[in-house]
Amino acid sequence: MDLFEPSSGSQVHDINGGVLASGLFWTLPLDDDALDVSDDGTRAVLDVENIQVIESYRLFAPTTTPATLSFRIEWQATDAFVDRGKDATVAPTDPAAFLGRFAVARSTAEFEVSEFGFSFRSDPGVSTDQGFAEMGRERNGFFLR
Amino acid sequence: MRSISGASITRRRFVQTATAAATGVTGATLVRPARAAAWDHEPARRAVVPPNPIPGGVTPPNHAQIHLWPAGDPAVTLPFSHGTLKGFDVDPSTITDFRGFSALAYHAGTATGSDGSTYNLESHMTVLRGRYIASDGTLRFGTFSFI
Repeated sequence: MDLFEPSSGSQVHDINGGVLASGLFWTLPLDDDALDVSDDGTRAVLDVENIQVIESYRLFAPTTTPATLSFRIEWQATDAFVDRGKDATVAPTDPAAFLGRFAVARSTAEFEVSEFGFSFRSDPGVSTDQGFAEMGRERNGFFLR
Repeated sequence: MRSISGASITRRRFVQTATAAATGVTGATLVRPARAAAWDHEPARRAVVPPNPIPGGVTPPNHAQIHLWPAGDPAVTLPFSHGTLKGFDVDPSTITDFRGFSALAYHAGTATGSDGSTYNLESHMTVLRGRYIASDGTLRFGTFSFI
């Protein structure tokens, strides 16, 4: 999640999950009960409190500091589920090397971040109306065999 | 272990001494705080065995490959980073050998900082929950978020 200074457009905060030595990128484990998905898969709520993250100020900047993030994200499917991906017919390094059924969605979110010397909270109205959201089920790697 | 005034003192002994000073309890009658006792006997919290990253991903200018695809509607240009999305047939997952629920979102809006300033906010968030082959080769179940 990034913050930009409105007048200059410059990025001034970059909150991310860090990178493991394996290359696992900005991906953190959550408690299983953080996510609630409706039976038909058309609505989901992700509620996370006080997860430890990293503030790197700008994308890939070398200077970092620890931060704590709480957030709540809701997804609501707005379209029908359709097939996505090209299975194992493409190389494993291809972006289409997966199979899934996804629906375009609308998502809203609230974020709160605290770090040494600074904190911020999202204002009402944060959504994917200027972005994009999707939700569904997928498989990749070993599960394409 | 640290040395204070030439004497050797462990972190635990320091806590005991400080507690005694604070409560007025000294010597053999010291009742150690419950948290310190728990620290002695508590097993280490079990770590989540992480999944492996997807083998592919983008390579930003002047940077090594990152194991992430910006999946989504290629007609969308994000309002503040001006990033573009790479298409619908693009894996939203950052982890490989995965099967389960997946959702992603690119949010935009504003945020208010503790300095009183208003900032433009943009996110790329993903949640993944399901079975995965962990980095130790075992089949596991977990929930993860790309942040």
